[in-house]
Amino acid sequence: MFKRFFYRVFSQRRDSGENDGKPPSVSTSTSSLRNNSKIHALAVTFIIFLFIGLIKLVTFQLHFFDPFNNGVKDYEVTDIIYARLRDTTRVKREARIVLIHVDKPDRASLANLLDRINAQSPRAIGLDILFAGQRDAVGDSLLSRRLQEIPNVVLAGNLAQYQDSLKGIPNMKLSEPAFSDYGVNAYTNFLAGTDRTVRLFSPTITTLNGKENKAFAVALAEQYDASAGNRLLQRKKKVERINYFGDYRSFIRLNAASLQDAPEEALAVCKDRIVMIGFVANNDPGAPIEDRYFTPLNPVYTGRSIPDMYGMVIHANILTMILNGNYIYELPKWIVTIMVWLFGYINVLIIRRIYLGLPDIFHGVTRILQIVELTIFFFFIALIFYYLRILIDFSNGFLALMLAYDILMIYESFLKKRIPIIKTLTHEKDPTN
Amino acid sequence: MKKTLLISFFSIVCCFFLMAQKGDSPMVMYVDGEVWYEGVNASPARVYTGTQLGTNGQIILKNKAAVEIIYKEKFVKLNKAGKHDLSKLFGTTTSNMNFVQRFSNFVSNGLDQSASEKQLEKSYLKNQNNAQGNIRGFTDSGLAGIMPIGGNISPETTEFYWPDAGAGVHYEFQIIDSLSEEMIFMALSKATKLSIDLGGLYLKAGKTYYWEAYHVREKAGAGLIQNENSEEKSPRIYFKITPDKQQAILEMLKQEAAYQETASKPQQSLMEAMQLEEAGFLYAADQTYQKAMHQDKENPLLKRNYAAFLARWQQLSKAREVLSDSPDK
Repeated sequence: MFKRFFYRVFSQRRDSGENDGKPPSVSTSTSSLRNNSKIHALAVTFIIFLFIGLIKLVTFQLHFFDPFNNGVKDYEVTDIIYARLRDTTRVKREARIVLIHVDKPDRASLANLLDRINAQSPRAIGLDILFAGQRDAVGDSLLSRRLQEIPNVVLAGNLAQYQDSLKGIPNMKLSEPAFSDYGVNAYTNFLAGTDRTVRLFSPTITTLNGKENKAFAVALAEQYDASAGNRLLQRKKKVERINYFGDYRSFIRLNAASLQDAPEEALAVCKDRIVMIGFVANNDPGAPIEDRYFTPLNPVYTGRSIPDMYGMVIHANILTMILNGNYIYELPKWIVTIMVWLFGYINVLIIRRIYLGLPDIFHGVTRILQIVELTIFFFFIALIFYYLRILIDFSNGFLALMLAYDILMIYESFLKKRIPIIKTLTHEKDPTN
Repeated sequence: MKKTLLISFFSIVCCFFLMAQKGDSPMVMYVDGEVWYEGVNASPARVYTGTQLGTNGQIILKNKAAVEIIYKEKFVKLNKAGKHDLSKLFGTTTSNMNFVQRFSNFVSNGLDQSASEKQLEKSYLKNQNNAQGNIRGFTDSGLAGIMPIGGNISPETTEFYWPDAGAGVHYEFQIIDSLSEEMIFMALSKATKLSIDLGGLYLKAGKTYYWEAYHVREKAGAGLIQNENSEEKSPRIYFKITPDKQQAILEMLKQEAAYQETASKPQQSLMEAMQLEEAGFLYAADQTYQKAMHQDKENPLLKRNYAAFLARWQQLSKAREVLSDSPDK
């Protein structure tokens, strides 16, 4: 049965193919039919990608598509891999980083906390807090003095808004000079707004004042392991994809409020580790949403849901990625484009053969083929990303596969008969003449 | 040569074995409160974050304590007071489902969920438990009893209010520039309400600010002091100063035929409130609803719309209050 099926679809001896199932009115050689078939498939492939381009151009420009756009723009196929194909029952642990939660500390108690942490000889301390303006003189002075005494401190900075007119970021907002003069200043901004998913980060950004600023996690990585920081910078990528290690459960956490009266043993965990101080409350739905972002780990990967990760946990994830050297690799765009076009073309070729060879069951066979292919290709793309950390953006290929059936139908029943250039292109004579 | 190769091979195996052993004990990732560990034939020892435990023995939690432990990629969170046997907690391993099985589950779940319209609706509703109309959460998210709740605010007299923290508590109210963290306004207040003319403050159009109110208590000889328990404060509410636009929106609405043809005052107020909400003027929308409710207390349409508005903006408790007064409920 299968033999007959394949024979009917793929046999080159079927010379009736090029005329909608009717016997050809002009005798054509097998090779010219073969060429015609390829040219038609190429024309359909071209129309498919033109259509995809137009959809993207039109929908993303029109205001009334906004609800659709906001969902689609903020969604990537790899989100499914993180959200659904990851084994969420397994929680890996990162033992080199300690996160300390402080809600809204006064500077005097923060100075005291820093003093106690420093007594445990941590490898680096990151303060994910911007100390803007002067508050109380005693607290300011204590904190300033503490920062002078402690080496390896990284202080949070805040990159200013991108200025369209200047084509760049003017500067980085630092803490008061009394604090920022005594540590490395690094920015804590992510490449996403508060209602977008954080998938990327910039290792360094040069502001318009000519200063090269480093990301918070990069500065901390350099303090802990200079070679790991160098490995990242040698990649010379303006933007890096974040290879998420895990959610807040993967990291050692302390609560500054409970440390106030705690003995020194409670802080012993800071020894030889990177200590990050900032806002990292629990992840209950009712927990504060300050500095909380969407990440690909969010189990609800389409539409809006509750932001799932605090900024400091994202910094910790970036830090882990840098220290482990586990970067995500992306295939160059030109390779992906060739792959997608080839994929689209081969599919059109196959679907057209089915259309011409099996007109009665074309619909069913094509739909099954689409579903099977989609599943298999998605599986391989997911597998490659999951195990090799190679990201292949094949969304246009999938879209082309889904559109191939309908566009081929339009082409065969409408365009081919009415557009003279296609006829000229394929040297066919209209059988109706 | 063979000998060298064998020695090298065994050294590598030993290294791997030692590395595996290093991380091969339960590690305490987080501790809140008083937690103890009692090893086999050993006296109890206090557990802190970062403590490495044995694979046997017991974890003892005192009242209100909580602990999180990871062992062999298995995460355990305990928050019930009493003794917990570690061998029982970590005796069972995590699922051994491999990537192919997870993928197959993902695909079959997708197929099951879309098998019929009923199934599709069921899975949609299930998903709705995790999603909501806005990004802030499906609860009050700590915003109960707070106003303004963000969005655009016109530089006019605005009434800020926040939840009462009980007797003897004063409040330090602040308005701060969100980017530079510069304090724009600070006031100490006895009440949980403060009326401020934002037009009189140095607030720039289009810039984002936030407001918050700290609890401060009086201490003998020390005057008012900010509470050290940092949880005792209102959440940060971000807002953008947007002059002129609010009035322009209402003027445009008043030109609409639908608005002019509506004889009912509550309906006009509804239109105004909806328009203001759509433009992000949440405080003004709330004021409009309140004014309309004041004029027509029993109007069910107003009540339901006001409750829906409150629910959309994390004022679920207040929304319930509004609805519970409803005569048709």
